[in-house]
Amino acid sequence: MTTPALYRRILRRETHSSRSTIAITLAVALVVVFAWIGTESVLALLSQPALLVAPRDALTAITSLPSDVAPAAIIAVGSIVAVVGLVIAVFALAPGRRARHTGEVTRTAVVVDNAVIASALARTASYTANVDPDQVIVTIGHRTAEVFVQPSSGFSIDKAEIIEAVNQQIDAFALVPALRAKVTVERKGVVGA
Amino acid sequence: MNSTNRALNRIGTFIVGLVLFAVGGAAALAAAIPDWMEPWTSASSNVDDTVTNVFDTTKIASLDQTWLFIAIPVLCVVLIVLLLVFAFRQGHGRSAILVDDSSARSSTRSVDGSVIVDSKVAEQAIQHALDEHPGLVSSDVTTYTVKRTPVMRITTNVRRGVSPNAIRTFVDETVDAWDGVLGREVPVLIQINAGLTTRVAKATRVAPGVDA
Repeated sequence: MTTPALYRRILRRETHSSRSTIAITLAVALVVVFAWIGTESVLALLSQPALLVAPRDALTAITSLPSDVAPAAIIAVGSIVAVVGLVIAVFALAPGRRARHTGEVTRTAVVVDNAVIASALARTASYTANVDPDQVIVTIGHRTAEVFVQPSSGFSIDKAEIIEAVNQQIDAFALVPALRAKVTVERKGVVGA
Repeated sequence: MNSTNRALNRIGTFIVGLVLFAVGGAAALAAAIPDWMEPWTSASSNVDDTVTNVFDTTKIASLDQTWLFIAIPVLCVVLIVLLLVFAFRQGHGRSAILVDDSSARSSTRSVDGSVIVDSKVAEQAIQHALDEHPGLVSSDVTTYTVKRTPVMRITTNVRRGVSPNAIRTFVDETVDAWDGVLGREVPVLIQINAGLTTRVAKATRVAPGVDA
C-alpha cells in the first residue's frame, strides 16, 4: 500500500467507530445462548433433568404459544424484540462518526479531537474579547463551530474582531471537513466578572 | 489503527439485528392478525408428531437416544469457538518491530546482513522528546502494522486551550529528527486528544499568540 492510500485508510478508521463494543456484546450473548442449548441437549441425551427447559418441551411451547399466552402479550413482546432488532440493524449500518476532525496530510497524518479544537477556539475568543475563559462556550459540530461569548457587564465586545480571530485560527488548522464559525455575543453580561 | 475487521463487526451486528427484527415482527404480526395466527395454531397439533418422527428416525439403537443430541452440542461448541475467536480478534495489530529488512531480497540491500529496529527504540526516543512540551499532559507512542506496513501512532493529550497546530508542529519536528536518526520514513499518525486527565490538569500558561 502506498503511503497516501495508507493514510486515507488510517484516517477513515480513526474518525469512525469500529462498532466493536456492540459486536462483542452480541457475540458474548450468542455464546451464552449456544452454551445453554448445547448443555440442554447433552442433559437430554443423558436423560438428566433439564437446566431450564428440555429441548422437546421448548419446541412444543413455541408452537402452543398462541393458545397459552394472550395475543396482547405476544404483540407487546414481539414488538419490543422487533424494535430492539431494528435499532441494532440501523446501528450496524450508520456511519458512526466520531467527534474528531482530520488535519492536512504532510509527512504525517493527524486527527484532532473536537474537544481540543473547541478549547483552542475558546481560548482565542476569550483573549480577543478580553473576558474570562469561563465566559466563552464553543460547540464543534461536523462542519460548524459555534462560539458563544458572554461579555462582562459594562464592557462592550467587538464581535467582528472575535470572528476574525476565530476564523484565522480555523483556517490555520486546515481541518477536514472545514469548519464554519458562527460567533454569538450574548446580550446579558456577567456581573462581577 | 488496529486490525479489527470492521466489516465483519457491522455484518454480524446487522444480521443479529435483522433476525431479532424478523422474529419479533413475525410473532407480533401473527398475534395481531387472526388469519396469520391460523398456521401457527395448526402447527402445534402436528409438531408433536413431527418431533417424535424425527427422534425415531435419528435414533441410535445402542443408546436409545437421537443423535441430534450429540450433533447439536458439537455444533454449539463450534459456533462458540468461532464467536470467541471473533471477539478476541478485536483490537490487535500492534507490532514490536519498526523496521525489518531481513526479508528484502539481497539485491535491494546495500550491505550483507539485515537490520531490525525494535519499536521500543522509536517509542521511547520520541516519547522522551515529547515530554518536554509544556502543552502536553501526556503522550504515548505505539507501533501498529497496517496492511503489512509498520505505522507509528503518536497520541498526545493536550492541556486546555492549547492550539492543535502548535502540537502538530512540535510533533512533526520530533518526527523529522527521528527520521534523520532512523534513515527512513515510517508513516506516522498523530492523535491530538483532550483526555480525561486533561480536564483535571491545569490550563497551559503559554500565550496563544505564540502558537497561532
